[in-house]
Amino acid sequence: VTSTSHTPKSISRREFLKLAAAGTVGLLAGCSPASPSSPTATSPPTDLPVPADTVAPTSTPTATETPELTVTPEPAVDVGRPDIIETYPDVPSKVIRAQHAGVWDGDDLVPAALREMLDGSMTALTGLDSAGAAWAALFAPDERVAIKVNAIRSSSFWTHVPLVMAVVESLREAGVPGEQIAIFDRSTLELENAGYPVNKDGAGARCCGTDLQDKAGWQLMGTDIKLSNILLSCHALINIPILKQHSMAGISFAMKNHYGTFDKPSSYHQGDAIQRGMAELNALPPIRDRTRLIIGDVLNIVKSGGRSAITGDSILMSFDPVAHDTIGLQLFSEAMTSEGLNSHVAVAKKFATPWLENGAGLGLGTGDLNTIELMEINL
Amino acid sequence: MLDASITKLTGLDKAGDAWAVLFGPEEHVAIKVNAFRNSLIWTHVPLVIAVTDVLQEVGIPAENIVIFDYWTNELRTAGFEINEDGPGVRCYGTEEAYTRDWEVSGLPTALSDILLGCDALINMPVLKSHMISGITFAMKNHYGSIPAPGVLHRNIGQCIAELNALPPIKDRTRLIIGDVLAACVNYGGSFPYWEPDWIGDSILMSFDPVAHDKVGLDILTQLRMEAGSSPDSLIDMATSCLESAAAAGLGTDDPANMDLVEVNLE
Repeated sequence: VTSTSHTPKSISRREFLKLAAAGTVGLLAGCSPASPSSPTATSPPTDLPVPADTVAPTSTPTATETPELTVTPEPAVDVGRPDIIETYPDVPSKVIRAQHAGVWDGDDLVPAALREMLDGSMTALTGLDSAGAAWAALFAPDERVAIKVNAIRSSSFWTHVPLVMAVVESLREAGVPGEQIAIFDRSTLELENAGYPVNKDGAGARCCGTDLQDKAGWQLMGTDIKLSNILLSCHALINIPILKQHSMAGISFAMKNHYGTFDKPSSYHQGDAIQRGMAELNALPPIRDRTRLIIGDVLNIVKSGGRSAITGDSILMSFDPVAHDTIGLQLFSEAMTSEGLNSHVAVAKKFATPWLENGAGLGLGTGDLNTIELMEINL
Repeated sequence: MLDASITKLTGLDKAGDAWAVLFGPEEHVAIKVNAFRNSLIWTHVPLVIAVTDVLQEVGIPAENIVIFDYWTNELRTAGFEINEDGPGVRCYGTEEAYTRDWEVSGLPTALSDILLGCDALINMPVLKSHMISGITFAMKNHYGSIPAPGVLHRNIGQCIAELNALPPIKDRTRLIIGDVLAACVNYGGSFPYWEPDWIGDSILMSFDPVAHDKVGLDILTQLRMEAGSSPDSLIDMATSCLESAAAAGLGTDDPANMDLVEVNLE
């Protein structure tokens, strides 16, 4: 080995990435939804540094030996859940799948179609007659609502902005002021890169990253972790992930999306850590108790480590993250099979089954199709 | 730095002779850089250009040289000038062009058609710490020569060894030039996972990927200690990779079997 050194004269650092900015605003500081009472806030981080992709059919997942699942108690926080939210075991967990043949217009999503999908899903999920009444039953005008999207930089496909904007619009129509709504992921830069209009403290819905503004007080698998201040500052949480292939979790969807809500996602990707970590993270009271709604973005089904995607035309909606992700796994499998990628299906099921089972074991919901009520809406 | 290294490495008097001994004018040479998108530290463009210059000086047509990594967009972001089919040195990503014909750790594996299309390979990684493999340097750099690197992060020591032992990689590798003009000593927990948190002034050069990476690990270990953070986890993770690679016959991880030659230039 030859090691050659040279007294540096002018070593130029490479330019940082030029991030496509939709909207403006700088970095740093924390954004938070404005509070009718007492605000707090800031925002969070997500996924894995590992390049993802799955081609192999027969890899061996790390063995899961009946893990000892643990959940750390949460410090006192005033969070409530409307009675209208019912899931297994009280009732079969509903998962609504709304498909719309006209949701895409070329490369663009059609806002009106997205609203129809959301409205149809909301009424089916809640059993109420009107979408407005359903949104109002779930979210009160004096509440702060956080919306967790997936904008991770390692992908080229993210939770679609028009879908999130349609949700924001619905919330506002239900009386929640825009300033009390915070779209977040772990980093403002990532949100900008994913096309979100960053707004830390201006008028309208707020949108920014946690940007390392996390709060300590919880443990995951015996290790101290911190949770996003944006999450903690809100009364209600809407989880809007996008359906993705994931090399270690099989798929990334609602439960995996919260790897962008805490400070140490990369420490919980290996073997047993991801299988237990995903379940236990979602069972932490600040996440579990705030989650009012899960809206799964299946407008793309992302594969090849985030580098390519199959175009979809549906969204999922549920109160139950396990049921939601179970149906997500089905949709992912169907999409891969349609492309002849049968090996992807085997790998996804092999890796996803343990954390789905762990999630069910912690009482987060059900992964049993016999206790899931899948309702399909075709528009 | 390149000229001094190549003469020391080959034992020849002149750099030109050394390059000419390694690369014939009729050969196609692929240069694997690290332009990974989750990072803000990449193989430095001027260093790579200096290599393509010397290759041309020994008679290799520019059009027979290709700088590559996983994706064209990543190369562009890392500052490389893309040239897919024009005059001059070529530079582009493998994109979707892979040939599936191999197996790593029991998993079907494809290799970049750019790599497979060349006679000789120069591996030019940049030194980074890594949360799973301890370090990413020469051997880990070939995770950008395959389409599904994610699945090879399980049992990573064995996977890195087996990947580098695949004949198309092992047999084509003529030279390894490690970029230590900067390093990422402490990887991050979110994007960008790797930033240049240390500026260096050296390169490594070797024929042996294991020895090369062992020296890289030693550098990172020293830098971590100087930065006041423990190198233990890096050493633990990287050691399993190095041991597996040595056991696969890729080289040596034993300093007693290495000849570390240091060249200091003003």
